[in-house]
Amino acid sequence: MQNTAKTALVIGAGPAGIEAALKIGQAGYSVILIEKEKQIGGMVGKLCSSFPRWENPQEMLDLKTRELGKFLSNITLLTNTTLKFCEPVEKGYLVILEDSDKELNVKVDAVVLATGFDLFDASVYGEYGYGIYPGVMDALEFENQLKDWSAHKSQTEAPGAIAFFKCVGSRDRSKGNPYCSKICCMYTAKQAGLVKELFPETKCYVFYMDYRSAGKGYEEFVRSVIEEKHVHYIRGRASKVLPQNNRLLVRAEDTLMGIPIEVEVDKVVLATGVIPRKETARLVEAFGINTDQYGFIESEFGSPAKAGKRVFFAGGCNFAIELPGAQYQGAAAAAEVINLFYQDEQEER
Amino acid sequence: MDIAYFPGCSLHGMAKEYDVSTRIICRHLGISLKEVKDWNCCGATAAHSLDHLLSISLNVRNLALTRDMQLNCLMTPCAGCFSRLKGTSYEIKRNSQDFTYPDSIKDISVEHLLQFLVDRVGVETIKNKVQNPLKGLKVAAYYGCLITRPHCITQFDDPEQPVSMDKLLKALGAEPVSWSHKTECCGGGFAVSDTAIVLDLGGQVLEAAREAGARAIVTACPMCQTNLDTRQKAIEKERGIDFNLPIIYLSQLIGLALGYSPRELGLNRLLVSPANLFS
Amino acid sequence: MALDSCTNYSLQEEIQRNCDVNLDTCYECGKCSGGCSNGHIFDFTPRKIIQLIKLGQENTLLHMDALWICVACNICWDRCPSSINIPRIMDYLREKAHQQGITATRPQVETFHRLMLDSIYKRGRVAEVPMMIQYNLAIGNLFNESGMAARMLLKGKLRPVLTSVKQIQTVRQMFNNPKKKEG
Repeated sequence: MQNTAKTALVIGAGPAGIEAALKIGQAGYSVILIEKEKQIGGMVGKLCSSFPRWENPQEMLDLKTRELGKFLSNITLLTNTTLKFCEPVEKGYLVILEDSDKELNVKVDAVVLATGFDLFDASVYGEYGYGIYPGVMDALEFENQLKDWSAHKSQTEAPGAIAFFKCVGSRDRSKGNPYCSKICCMYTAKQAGLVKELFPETKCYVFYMDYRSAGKGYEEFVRSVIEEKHVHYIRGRASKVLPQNNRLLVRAEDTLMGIPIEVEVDKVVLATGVIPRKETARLVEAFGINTDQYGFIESEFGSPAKAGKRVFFAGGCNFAIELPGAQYQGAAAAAEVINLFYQDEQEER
Repeated sequence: MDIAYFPGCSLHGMAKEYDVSTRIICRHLGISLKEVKDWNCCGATAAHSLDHLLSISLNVRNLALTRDMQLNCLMTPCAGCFSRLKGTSYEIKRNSQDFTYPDSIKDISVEHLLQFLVDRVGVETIKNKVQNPLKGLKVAAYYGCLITRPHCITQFDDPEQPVSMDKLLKALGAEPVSWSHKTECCGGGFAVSDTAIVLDLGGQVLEAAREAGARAIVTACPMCQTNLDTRQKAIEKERGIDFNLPIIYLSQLIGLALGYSPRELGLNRLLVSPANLFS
Repeated sequence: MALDSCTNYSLQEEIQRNCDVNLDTCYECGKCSGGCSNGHIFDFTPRKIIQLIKLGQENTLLHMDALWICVACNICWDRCPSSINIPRIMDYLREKAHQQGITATRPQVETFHRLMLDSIYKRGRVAEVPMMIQYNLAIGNLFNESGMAARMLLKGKLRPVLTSVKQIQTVRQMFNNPKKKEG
């Protein structure tokens, strides 16, 4: 590690954290990028394709990994590592980082939290049978299924029908999550579209209250899934999943027709809502920063990337976000850190 | 343990065996049931359907009578009565200015028999008293609508995937099957006034139990029991399927496991005979 | 339908006040209708009923068949993401229709309810045998369910014993509650 004066600690090596670390490192400052898993990439590594351009997320990750590799002199990547302890000191924090066998004591001059988001536990919806009926899974589990199918397409028997339920644990006051998780309408369209690419004969039903496609190329993406890939969009929040004939029966109302409907499918995919990770709760307490009532980090007035004294944030720990958004926020947090370090250097002169 | 006991109209009538078996098992478990003195009908479906204030007043009286007995826990085996009594308790606490009632009745805990057995007596306690384990008898635990719904009022078990009765049945040595219609409606109060509804909905429950491999359905509601038992023949005729599913009250099955005879527990009164199960 | 005249809010306000609900919290998602036990035979599904209230369609609502075949299973209320008490709304509309003398689309259902309430008025409790006799008389079919009655008699399920409430006056005075007159 080069002995430059200023060091930033970036917690979380998902797309937001990687972007922040890269920009700070490219500007010539030191960065310690820690990641609690053994591989970097956060959610990106788990995805099969992306919206709205059907790009390969692994290629994006490989690109970023190569870029990180070019800056090994001042970006130190520590995987399997978490923050054990922190204490505010003059113009920074004293932190203890730990992995399975050792600890590292270091003083850092700024922190970027980029711990990402998690998915709501769908088992609270007994009516959907998550955790009880094997054919019911959440979106991340289905993403993994899609990767598996893509790799073994020729050996896979096409499922007869798949149902996708949106707004599971989002826009639901009764479960304490009234907010919209923003990305589910897009990733559900993507998932259904991918199924049709792999298995054109498989019937796909998306049960929706709305579809939210507010982004560049987003509306066209969803329409193409409906109009060109022929995914059936049924307006109505699914009410119940019942096992029947060794398959799953879905009951809902087609609200556009105003009639109750039923359909037998082989799998049910729940677009579960976005929640903060448990690790974020521990970190916000350690750094004394504000969160909203759901545990998502709140920014300071006028500074959308700043959470506290010398603490910045980016990505899913703030709220649900898609890949480019996480990268924008990572760059914004980096700009804040770079500016802070520059100001520090000016003062020290 | 002294508990205020609310049998309700059907337990004094067609569901007499439910009352008898409940009394037998409670006595065996050391629970002293004190029938609420001069209780009135909870109003069942009729009152809340046509006269909301009446449906509340009827149960304010029942709760006040319980208070007069200086008892804090009111238990009923009837899911309908439970729903009306607890619903009234819930409503008077929410909209206190609309009703006049003695304040102390708010503290009475209204419990359904199943809840009482699982939460107060305890599954382990009951398990330890089993004399006659049920030898892996495959049964479908049928909760019906009102024991767990709506959750905001009942505050008991899960309204979609309940497990309390299943746990209890397992403790008796039975094998509760995994099935789809645990809390689907049997057709409620329409057996006489619009029988087609019960034949439709009750029929779906019977089919689901049969699909799951159950040899009997266990219920804790006199309406569900009556619908699925007395209308089973008509449902069989309509669907062209033989169900042969005895509809047994939870207290009867517990009674059997505790060592009482089928006759004592009124099992001979079921229209669809359970004789084959216990031979 | 001229939207302007349908959205004066007064029916919605009346329902909200009497049923302790806020219909503006309805997400219009249809989860209620999708799970409704008798939704497949309702003339209007629960979600549509809420929309009818918002559009002030009182006449349609009071003449619905759905009012008389709702099984009060509570599935709609329990699954609603806004926890709207739809069963209470159904009760309220049905009670209003009944008070206004609107003939039920299912007269036998209404008759059954009414006879139960008569029994509660008379003796504070309901007994199946007298109920059935009165019901059969009311619908003009004395031998209705006689096969069933015979089977039940043989099994000892029919009990001619009638129990009553002693303090019957305290029950009877609940029947003419002056608060009912308020809208």
